[in-house]
Amino acid sequence: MADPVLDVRDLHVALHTRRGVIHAVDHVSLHIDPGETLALVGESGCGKTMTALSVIGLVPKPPGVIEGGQVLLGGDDLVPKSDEEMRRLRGDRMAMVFQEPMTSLDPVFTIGAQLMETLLAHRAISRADAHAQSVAMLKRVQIPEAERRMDNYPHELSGGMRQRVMIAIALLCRPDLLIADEPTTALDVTTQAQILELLRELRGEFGMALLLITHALGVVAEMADRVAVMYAGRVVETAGVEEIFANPRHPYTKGLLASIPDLADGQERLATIPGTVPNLLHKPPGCCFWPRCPIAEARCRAQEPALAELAPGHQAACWKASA
Amino acid sequence: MTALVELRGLTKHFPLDTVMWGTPKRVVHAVDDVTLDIAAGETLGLVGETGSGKSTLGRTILHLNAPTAGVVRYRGEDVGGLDRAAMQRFRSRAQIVFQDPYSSFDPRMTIQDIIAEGMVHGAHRTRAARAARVRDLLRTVGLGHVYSDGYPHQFSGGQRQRIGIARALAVDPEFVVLDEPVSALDVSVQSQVLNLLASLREQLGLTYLFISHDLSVVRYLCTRVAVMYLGRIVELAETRALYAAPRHPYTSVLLAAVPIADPRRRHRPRQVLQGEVPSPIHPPPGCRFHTRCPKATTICREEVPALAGDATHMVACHHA
Repeated sequence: MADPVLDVRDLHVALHTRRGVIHAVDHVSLHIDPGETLALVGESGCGKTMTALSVIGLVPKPPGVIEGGQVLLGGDDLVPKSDEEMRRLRGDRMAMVFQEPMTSLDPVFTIGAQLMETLLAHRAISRADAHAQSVAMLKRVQIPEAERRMDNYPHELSGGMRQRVMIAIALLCRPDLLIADEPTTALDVTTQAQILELLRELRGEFGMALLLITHALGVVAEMADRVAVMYAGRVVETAGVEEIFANPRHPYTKGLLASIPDLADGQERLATIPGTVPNLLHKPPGCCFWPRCPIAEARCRAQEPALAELAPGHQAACWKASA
Repeated sequence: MTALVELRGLTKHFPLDTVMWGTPKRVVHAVDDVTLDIAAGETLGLVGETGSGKSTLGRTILHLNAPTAGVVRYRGEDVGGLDRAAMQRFRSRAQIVFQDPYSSFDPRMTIQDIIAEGMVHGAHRTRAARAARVRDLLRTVGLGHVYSDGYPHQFSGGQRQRIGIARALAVDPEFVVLDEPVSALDVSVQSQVLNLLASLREQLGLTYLFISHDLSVVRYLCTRVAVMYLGRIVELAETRALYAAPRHPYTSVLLAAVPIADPRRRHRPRQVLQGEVPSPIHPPPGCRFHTRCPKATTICREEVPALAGDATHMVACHHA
């Protein structure tokens, strides 16, 4: 097996706010192999976006502080790198696509200028070549009349088209790693299907690794090779996609899977997880899930469980999930 | 089946140009010629994508927007013809819950005042009676433990949506329009609110119009479903029939586009709809879906298909 493209080891990111310290990413370890898709799943505030921002070096500082751990991209630790070094890596060896393309594209520049900027920043090429490569990439992401679209401003495009432009910008320099943070959440279901189809094709064609951040389990099932479930800043379960859907071991993963209404017949009542996500300023001691857990016992309230290997490639952080 | 709400040719256009006389040049055709009945006790799902007109239809039914043409009848009475007093009675019978409860609350009002605001015209004339009623309502929506003198920002998204539901229930409505009530919520909280809506329906005998873009959620809650595309109803059927055998080509692609939470089924053949929704300012002539429809022929470009079929399954397609 090749070395992983991305290897996050024991990453700890804290936000120092006026009201206290939030451990947004609490000793998280992840890895992604070349060409692999890892889905990072969880609800609002679980730390999945903060994990991604730490990888790409965009944690807002202050209040964010990387307290410890390593982020290895192709074996090279990114945590000690300067802003200038990170700027050279971003858009080149790794790139990110955000949920809302309207806010991540600059409204005062044309699509073309924003595409070409990426190439001109990272490659020693002429403007003419940058233009030609940008048009080719717009065609590749199936934007009709690509040549003419180069002169459009972001507001002249629909949401789906803007997301295609974001993907085009991200892929221009053929990154080893693409991070997609809720790339289809703001889109309609038929547009979502188009964008997911596009990502599937491009992933195969470019051979890049994909870190897909989402709360939608349907999207996970359609796209991921492996899944990591986050809760309150920690990875609570990780496994291959078929394994985790067929055989979830952490009560939180079980609850999430049970609470999605699906298109199948005969659901009388949806299963729910009682309560809400804990306030990370006042994290409960012990396992972070115990206040909502149906099977919690005394030990869960006192001691925090570590990720333990239950089967090859399947880990869960739960006292009661032991093999 | 007795109809609680009857829509006849309901149409809502929004002019884009302000003109002093004559007709504006550009008009958004948000809702066009919608005719349907909502029976007492049923939950009708209204499904469609951004810009399909589903929210406008919901608001026009409640006369929050005055219709451009057509009528809304509530218990047989034309809502457009009600005088002030009768309109006020209608407003207490027909309520709405919005998608984002944060932007639909006044941030400077307490939860108590938000929920009680609509009660002053009802039976709860004294402050004490209203406070008691608010406590009852909060208990009904599963918030018995919260302080009613808190402000909206102190509550989580799921709690705010429950408060929005309590506010709608405060005037003892019969009919509630739910406009994307769970779209802004996390999965685990979404299922809590859906279960709450289902149990309130049983306890209080409510009739819902449930507006959503999420077909899985609609299937869970609704007895019948109407599918909208560019301002028109393209299919209207009992939930089971619609999901088992959709008859409009748009409904088929919409259902096929829903991601399935089962990795073993990811390699199924996929039918991906090409292109984008045309502009509602210049909707295509004939069938509005013909520009993207795999089955479109000449007639589809020329003639508007009528919504036809039996009571259990109606479709507006020349080739269904």
